[in-house]
Amino acid sequence: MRLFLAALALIVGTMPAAAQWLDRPWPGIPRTADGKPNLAAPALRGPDGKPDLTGVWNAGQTLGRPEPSDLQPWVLELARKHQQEYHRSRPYYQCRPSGPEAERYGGWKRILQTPAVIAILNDDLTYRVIHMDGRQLEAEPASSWTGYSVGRWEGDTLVVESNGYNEKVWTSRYGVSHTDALRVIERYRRTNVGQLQVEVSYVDPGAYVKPWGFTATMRLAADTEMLEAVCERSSEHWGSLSDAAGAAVTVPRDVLARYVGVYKGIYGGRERTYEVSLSGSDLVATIVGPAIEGGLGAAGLEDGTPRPLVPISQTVFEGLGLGYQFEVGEKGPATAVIVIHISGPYRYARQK
Amino acid sequence: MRLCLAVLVLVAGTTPAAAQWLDRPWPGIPRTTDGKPNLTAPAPRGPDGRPDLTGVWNGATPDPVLDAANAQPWVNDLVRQRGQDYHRGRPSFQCRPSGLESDEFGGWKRILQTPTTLVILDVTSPIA
Repeated sequence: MRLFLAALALIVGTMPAAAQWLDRPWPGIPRTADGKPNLAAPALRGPDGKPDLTGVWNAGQTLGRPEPSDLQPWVLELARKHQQEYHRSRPYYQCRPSGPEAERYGGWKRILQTPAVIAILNDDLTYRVIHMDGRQLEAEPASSWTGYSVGRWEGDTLVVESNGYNEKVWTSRYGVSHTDALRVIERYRRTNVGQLQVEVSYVDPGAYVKPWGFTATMRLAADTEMLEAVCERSSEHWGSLSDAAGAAVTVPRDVLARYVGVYKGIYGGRERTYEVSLSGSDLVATIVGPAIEGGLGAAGLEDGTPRPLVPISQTVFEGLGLGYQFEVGEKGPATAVIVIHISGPYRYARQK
Repeated sequence: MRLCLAVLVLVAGTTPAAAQWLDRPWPGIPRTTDGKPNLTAPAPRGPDGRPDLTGVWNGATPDPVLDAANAQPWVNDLVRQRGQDYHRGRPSFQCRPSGLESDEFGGWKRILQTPTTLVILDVTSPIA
């Protein structure tokens, strides 16, 4: 039990700080009369007349959620398996580079543009190099976490093609895999000083029935800096749902019934509600929220989808690698559930 | 023992390949008459007239020696303690950034220089 809880707490250090620590005016960006960055001004351009993407950018959450019908059957099957071991198998939680994973297009980036190379630096201290010297994509590049990228300008749009990803990287947090033939095509367009849009498309006929992708919008984080958010604790030694099932204990149904209810707390600065219910003889937890139609999130990775809770003891359960500890008295229903999340324990008080 | 070996194997995957996989002429560097890079030519300079450090660099690993007499006692104690726990304690063996560890100045780096920022990209992680 203590080992289980300790393992859950191991990757607390992976969460990036929310605040930026430095405010410093950047040189070379247009400003309004009051000295603030003029983010609506036309996009900056380099000496070659092409848009200059240099800067610190921040994007909201991105979601790569292909339709199950877009995936070859083996990819869909593997995605289901990865979801069962989500917190152990996702490269990000293993402190490994996320490569082309769609969700990692969100968050902080620094882009440096030089005539021959564009570098995209991530806040986890991984980076990509995009060759801009006119070379073609390598037919058989060395396999790597971040791939091999070449870029070219089509008008004011930077088109980047990449390949050479190793088999360990995912293309989506839902555990979507790929073959050696994966090509990622990105189209970057700086619409003005403050906004950079990127359309990402994953092309891999051996894995995907048809190309799929998403669009992300990055906002210029002017007059500030990007902090590092280094993963320091790997989930390598976390258990998985299948491990938990192997170590599961039997909890009588009348005990499980004490945990059924609605619990409210704060996660990520926002109110979150868990609904715990019985499904047959199994306990399931659902984060209350609008469900997204489709099958890829069915294992409980997002709001509105039930995640099975596997009993590790009479009061502690595991679901997708996170811990759920119910607070109980001598009798009656549980008063709270502690969800031991990646960033630490969160208490959700019983509402009903 | 098996656990120990397993841990060592885990770290092996983080060691960068010794060989570069691609030979391709770089544009913009001086060359000799036979087309080879002229490494003894004057250093390239940027638009501002300053030396341009941009490029892919490789150097031997430095071998600095800490003079124990020049270190505070607590530092020497910690050095001895870390020597006992070396493969578990050293950040690079934990897949963590090495920061300014002197040994990490060796090996492969890519430097990108722009008017306002110079970035040093390590084979494992960048120092910006």
